[in-house]
Amino acid sequence: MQPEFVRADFVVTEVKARLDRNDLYVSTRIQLDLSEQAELAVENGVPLVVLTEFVLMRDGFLWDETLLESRIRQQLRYHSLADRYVVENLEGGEMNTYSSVSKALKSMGVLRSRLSPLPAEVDIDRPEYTLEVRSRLDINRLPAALRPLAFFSPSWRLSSDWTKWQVTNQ
Amino acid sequence: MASNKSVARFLLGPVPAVIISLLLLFTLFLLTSAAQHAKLSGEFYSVLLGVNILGILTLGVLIVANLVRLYRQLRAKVLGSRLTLRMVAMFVLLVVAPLTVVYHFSVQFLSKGVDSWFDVKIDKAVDDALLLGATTLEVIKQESVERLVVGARRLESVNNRFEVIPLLNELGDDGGYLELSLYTQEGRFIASSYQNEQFRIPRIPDEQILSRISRGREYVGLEPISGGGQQLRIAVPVRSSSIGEPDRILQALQLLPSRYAELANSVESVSAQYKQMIFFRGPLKFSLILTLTLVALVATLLAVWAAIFISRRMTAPLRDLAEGTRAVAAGDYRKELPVNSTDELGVLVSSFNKMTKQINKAQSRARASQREAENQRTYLETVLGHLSSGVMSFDDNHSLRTSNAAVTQILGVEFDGGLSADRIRTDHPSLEPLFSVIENSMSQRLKEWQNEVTVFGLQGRQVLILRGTRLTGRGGYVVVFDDITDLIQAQRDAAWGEVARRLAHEIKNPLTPIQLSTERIRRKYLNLLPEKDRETLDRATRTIVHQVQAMEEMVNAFSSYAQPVRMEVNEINLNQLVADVSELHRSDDQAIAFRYEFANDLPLITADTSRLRQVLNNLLINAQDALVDTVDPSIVLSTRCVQSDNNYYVELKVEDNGPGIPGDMMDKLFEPYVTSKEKGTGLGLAIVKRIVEEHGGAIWVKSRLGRGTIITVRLPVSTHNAGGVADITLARAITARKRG
Repeated sequence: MQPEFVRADFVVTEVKARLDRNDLYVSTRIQLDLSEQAELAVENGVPLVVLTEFVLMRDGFLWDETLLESRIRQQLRYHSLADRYVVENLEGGEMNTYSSVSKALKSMGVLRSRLSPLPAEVDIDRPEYTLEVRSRLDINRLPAALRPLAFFSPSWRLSSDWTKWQVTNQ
Repeated sequence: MASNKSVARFLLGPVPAVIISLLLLFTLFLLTSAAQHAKLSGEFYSVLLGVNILGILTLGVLIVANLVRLYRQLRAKVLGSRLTLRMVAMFVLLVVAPLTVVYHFSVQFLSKGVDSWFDVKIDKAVDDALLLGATTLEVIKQESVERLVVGARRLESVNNRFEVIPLLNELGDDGGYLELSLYTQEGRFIASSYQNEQFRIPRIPDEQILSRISRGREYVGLEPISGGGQQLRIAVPVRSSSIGEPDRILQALQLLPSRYAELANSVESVSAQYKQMIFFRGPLKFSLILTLTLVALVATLLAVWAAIFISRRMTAPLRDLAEGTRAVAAGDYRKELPVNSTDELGVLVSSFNKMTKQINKAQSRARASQREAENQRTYLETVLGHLSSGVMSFDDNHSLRTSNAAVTQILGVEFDGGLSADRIRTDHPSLEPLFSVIENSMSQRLKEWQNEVTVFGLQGRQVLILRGTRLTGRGGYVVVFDDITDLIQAQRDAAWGEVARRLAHEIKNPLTPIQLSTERIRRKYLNLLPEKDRETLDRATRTIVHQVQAMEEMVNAFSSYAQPVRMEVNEINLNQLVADVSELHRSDDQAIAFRYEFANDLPLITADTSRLRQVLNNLLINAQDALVDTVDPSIVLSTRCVQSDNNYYVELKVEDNGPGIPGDMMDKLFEPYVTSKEKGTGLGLAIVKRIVEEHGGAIWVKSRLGRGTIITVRLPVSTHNAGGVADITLARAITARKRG
């Protein structure tokens, strides 16, 4: 059962998933809208981590089989001396700066990633796989002082629903 | 069922609560640490928070369960529950009140303390430092822009790609740029020069840069890079020197000198941290107050639970003592309470156990004595029960305390204990002679007395000999009596039998020789004497013979009176018998008017028909003899059933209107040889009385001189037929047979 959130501010609008040899190539478009509290926190130098989770599933008779789980964490923070919003991919170390938070969020929503390695049982010729994607604000990565409030405040529960996307082999 | 109870008891006991409490304290400690140390994992914090809340809820549930249990005990009025509740309330009040005060002031202190961390001066200093850094950077930026503008001018005239790249390389090497790239005005890449492979892919200028350049202005911006360094992004327009050639954009990425970079990082870091701190002011308060609240909540719950637990522990010995006292009050002296402590309560419980043991011992001894007394009493009762003598005991108030079975057997009445002798006299008129003697003797407080009384009870006339003794010590009286009716009868029978034997021997034996001798004299000398003497001899010998025969008859009659007779009893309708017998007498003497007044519901009596017939004959002969000189003689025969003291009797009255009996004869009327008649043996009424007594009956005479005599015969009814009269046992008949 999917958890219910007060505001589903993150929306996974598009996901393209393609199997190629031993890799799964994923490109996403996720609409990330921060709550007023979260945006205020960013402007006050609080780094936010957005966690995008991928689960590759195979349809089963009784239940779906999980083949691969992967996650991408991106950090958004404000650099006051440079007056720039810095987006850093915590997995790869890539870093980009943006002049506004909206541009930074837009950039964060566009992900192009290669998920690997795929399990051996994945047969790319049989496109019977589903990719579930969810993006959420990682409360556990907030500074310690902010965490208790984030646990109890709906403003900090920012997450998309789990979305299912068909995986292609072309 | 028992296992469920033990599980519930275990769950409500100290072990789970202590485990939860320790776990809570540990997690609270970790939670506090996690709130203070940012490096601790966020997931760990979530788990701790969850465990804490779960623990608090569990502790709350345990406390509620304990309170519910206490409430139920209170409603069931379980011993000690009220005291436990009172102690719980007191402990909770003692703990919660100061805890609340401490909590309130702690929250206030925290709020004000956190606010006081942020000083306006520091705020301004940080802002100034940031401004200073920015100003310094601005100078560097300006220098970098100017230097790049110089390079851009050199590119203005170079349009050929093959010429541009060497120039870019040269400018890049000269300027020490990380990357130097040339773009179209739309941002399309033309060429670039870079120091290392990391910059092989050019960093395309974003819209903001393009927009600025399109307006003919330069762009310079500071950008953080991976590894904590800083770089400057500088973009300047490259104006075309040739007509028709579009303007271009020259963008350079230049590493900020390390000295400036460190300073910039430091200023940026401190500024960011301070801004965060200011932003965290609210969340931090919330976090601290949350932690404090959790701690206070845990402390309160622990205190409440501890209050319940301690109260239970403290009241447990008191509850045990109360239960023990109740058990002792109920007579259970084997109750032993558990001694769980060595304090004053423990000493109290030990003393209680010692006391109950001693009481139990004393009780056992008392029980043994009581058993012994009971045995003796049973023995005595058995002995008394098997005594043929009736034994009654009276207290000082003359109330009957005990009576043995023989009392009921002799008197035919079962007495309730506690009845006074007076009350018994009233309730049982037939026993009046007996109890009046007893009452009188007790009233005179005689130490010992002995009497003989006659009562007319269930078994008819009874002669009782009683002996009374005043008891010393506990007081009261004991009366022992025996029914000596049979004994007297036996003695009388024996005495009269002896008299009869002697009479036969002393009188009857000489009569035969006298008669024989008289007859011989008469036979031998009657014919020899002259006529005159012959007549005298004849008269004299005839008189002798007649008198001898009369004496023989008299002796025989007396023998029949004195000798015991075996009775043949059967059920008799007295009315019928009286009618039959009287009919003979009526036909003999028709001058006498016979009148009958028979009761219709007369019950059958058990009696010897022939002997009862003799009674009737004697009575009727006496009545007829009494009426010889009476004008209009009459005899009234009446029967009736009477009830006296729950006993039933049949009464026969023979009433004549003769001259009556003189008063001097009344007392000895039923004694042998007492008669007012010229003829007769004088044994008639004596025999009647004896037969009546043999039947357990009584006879008495009521006479009015000149007006007549009434003889009343009362016979007990031992069985009862229909007719509305109570059933009566055959005891009388059996007794009568025995006597016979």
